[in-house]
Amino acid sequence: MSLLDVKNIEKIYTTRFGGQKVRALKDVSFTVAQGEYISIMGESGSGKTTLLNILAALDKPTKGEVLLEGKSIVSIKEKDIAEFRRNNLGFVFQDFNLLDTFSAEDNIYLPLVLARVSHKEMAARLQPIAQKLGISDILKKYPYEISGGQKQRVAIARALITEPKLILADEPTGALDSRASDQLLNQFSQLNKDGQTILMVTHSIQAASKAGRVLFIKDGQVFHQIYRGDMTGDQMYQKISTALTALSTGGGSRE
Amino acid sequence: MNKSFYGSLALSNIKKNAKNYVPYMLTCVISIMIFYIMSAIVYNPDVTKLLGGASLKGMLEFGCGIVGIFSAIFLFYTNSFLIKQRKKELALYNILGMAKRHVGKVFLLETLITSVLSLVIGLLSGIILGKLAFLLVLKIMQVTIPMKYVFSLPACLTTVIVFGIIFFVVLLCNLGRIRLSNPIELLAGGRQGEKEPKTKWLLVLIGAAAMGIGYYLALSIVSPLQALLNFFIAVILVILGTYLLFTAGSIALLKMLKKNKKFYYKTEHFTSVSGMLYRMKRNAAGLASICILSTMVLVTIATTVSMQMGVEGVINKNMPNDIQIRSYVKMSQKEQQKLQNQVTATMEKHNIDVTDMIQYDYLSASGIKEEGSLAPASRVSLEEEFAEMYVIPIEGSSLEAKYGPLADDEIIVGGDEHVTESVLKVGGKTFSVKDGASDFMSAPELGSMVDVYFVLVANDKVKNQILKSANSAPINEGYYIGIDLSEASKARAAKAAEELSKETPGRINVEEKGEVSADLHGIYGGLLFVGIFLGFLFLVATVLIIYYKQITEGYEDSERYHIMQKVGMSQTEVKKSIKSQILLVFFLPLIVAVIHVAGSFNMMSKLLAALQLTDIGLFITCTAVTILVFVVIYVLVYSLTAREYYKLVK
Repeated sequence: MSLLDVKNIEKIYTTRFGGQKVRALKDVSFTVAQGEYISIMGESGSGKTTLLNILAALDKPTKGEVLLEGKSIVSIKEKDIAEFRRNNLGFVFQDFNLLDTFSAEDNIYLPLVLARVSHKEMAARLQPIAQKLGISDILKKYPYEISGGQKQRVAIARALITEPKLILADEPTGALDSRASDQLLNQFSQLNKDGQTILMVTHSIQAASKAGRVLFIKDGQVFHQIYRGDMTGDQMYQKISTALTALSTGGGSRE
Repeated sequence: MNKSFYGSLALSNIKKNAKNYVPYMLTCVISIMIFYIMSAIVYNPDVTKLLGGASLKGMLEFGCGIVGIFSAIFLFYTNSFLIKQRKKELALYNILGMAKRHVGKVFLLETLITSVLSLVIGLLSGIILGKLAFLLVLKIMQVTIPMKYVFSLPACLTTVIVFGIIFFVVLLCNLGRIRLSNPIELLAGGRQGEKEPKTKWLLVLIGAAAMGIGYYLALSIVSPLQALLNFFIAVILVILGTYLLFTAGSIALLKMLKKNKKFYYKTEHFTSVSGMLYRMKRNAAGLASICILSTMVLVTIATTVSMQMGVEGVINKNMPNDIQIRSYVKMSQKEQQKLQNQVTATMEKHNIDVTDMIQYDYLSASGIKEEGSLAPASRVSLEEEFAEMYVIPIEGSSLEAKYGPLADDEIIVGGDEHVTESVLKVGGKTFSVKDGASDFMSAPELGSMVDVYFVLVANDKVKNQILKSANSAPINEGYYIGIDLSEASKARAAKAAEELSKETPGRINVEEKGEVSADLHGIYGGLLFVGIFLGFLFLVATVLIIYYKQITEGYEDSERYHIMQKVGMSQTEVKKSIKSQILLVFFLPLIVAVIHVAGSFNMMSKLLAALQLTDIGLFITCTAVTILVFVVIYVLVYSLTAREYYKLVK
């Protein structure tokens, strides 16, 4: 059975003034299997972020269904959504979203504290994750004291500590330099090898080329997809690059 | 760039920042208004003509000074908020190519517009409301002299000069800030991370010590004189303690809570403790100010109101008779007779109808009342509660008819404190108490600062025995005549008393109830006027600080709560967390203020005693009612401003 099942979702926004309707997504369907590493690519305004928000249960589709392990996340009641998100999903954001008022350690603990886990268990869970991500030394530091790459690793630790079924990453390399980006992508690949399912939205071909599958979205639809199969990183990079060019020229680019 | 450009930019800036500018200008207008009203009364030539006008003038001058200093501090405070909010805007000007001196020009124009506008509005409302305030003072003082309320040019000028200087210095400060700033830092503004505050144990200790000593001083006071001496020290210590404990103390406490892992890593405490840590770092000084201002409002209004309410009681206690004639030195029989004749003659001359007249010899002394004994004290120390005692022989005085006869070993005790013992040692002699709760009450020498015991004895012989037994204790001998008048002749009493005072030797003191009453009404009414105005100003200041706090907090918190929602905090959890923190932040000062008022109660009641008001029950009621009204206003202000906060956080 697939982990995530996205069925014919459509999202229509009504603009605040004038009541004009904008269709951000129309009829998107795909599935994610357990242990997959998927990238979603597309230009600005293609509907990537809308899609991610719907998968994260932050937003509801106008039409269609999203199933996580066969259960609909569209029909979860408002009051249960926060708990659902905490228990099943891990988030990594472009701008880290770490709280300045907490140390790295406390930032990582935040979702567990919200889930009322005891301090002893939190500490036990953190230790292997911190080691894996190489952040054991900076746990006591505050976000303003550490680099962007370190911040993002702390954010990943925060996403992992709840042992989520699915990690959703929104442009995780967007605010990082190339070295920190490489490091992060390697860590993602490593996590994926250990069995973690990852869904990442990105602009970066470099980032996307590490994934097992790349979905291209254009004008609110899944336009194309590439499976990695047994391609090397470079080959994957080339293929994505070509696909993007085709996407922007063939489809009547707006840019 | 031409002139009109700066002007229109300055104008549009004020309009766009209306949310911040309106409360700022309101502060200016209200400060100016109050300052003008007070100085207009100080400069009014008619005021000094009033009875007690000189003391009222002095108090109002003092009030004026306080308003001036307070306005300066507060305008600086609100202005710094204003500038903080506009950091980004300033940076944008810089980046868009305006040199610092251009920004300076815009600032100059902005300050000019706001100052002129608030001066004009403040003075106008001061002139109009001044008339009302004036009538209010006259009503409180219960004088019927028709007084002209005139527009006061010197008061106007003083106001313009004082506030002109304040605005100018504020402008200089702002210009200095522009010069020191660099656009990139300004743009980043609140974005750069804040360091976690450090625990400063030394400051916590100093704060706790200052608070402890201040409270000890206030609570351990037993006599009014001691209260007068210790008042300022206690107040300064408590203010210092409050500031230090709010700033360093709260952080030390929160850090300790944070160290306790079992407590800290609980859903209810996790975000609150760390949030409060930063909140206190930013707001502790402001909250301490709110706390101290609130305490001032409460104490000022409670004391002045209870003085005003209690003024009749004070007058009655001090002036049991309509005209009181007292000699502070011993008078011979002949001298007494002469004085009596003089008094009778003067009363007849002024066609005054005397309904009752008492006269007696007496001994008076500062004494200590203990179980079974009332003794003149050889030395009165400030640490002890002392009483005032009188020994009055009734033989040969007008008291004999009502209270006599008395055996040589019998006494009657009257005054505001009753005696329950059946045997009482007075000085060195033991008496049996015939009546320990007599209705006898006469005029005390010192007024009514302390408890007064009037001891009636049989005759001069007994009186002299007590005098001899007192050893080295200082005892005064005197003579007293009290006259009561018919209602109709009271109007002429003041003139008669004045004439009598002139005719008799200087060591004889003549007081007339109407005059004393007008004097006290003048002093107390003036105090109430100043108290209510200061209270009003402090209240306005408190309200404005709360409003600013809510707005700045709102801006800073909204981002934090967005992140929390993203990592899995539900809307209700966010709301709960916000509510508990905000409630704590805004009600902590109020709670501490109420504790301060309670702590100051002993000292204030002794101070009131120094001002002749000993009715503790009345003071308790006034304090309680004041606190209640203040809490209602505070909650109202809080809930109105909290709405703004929630709007921002959403």
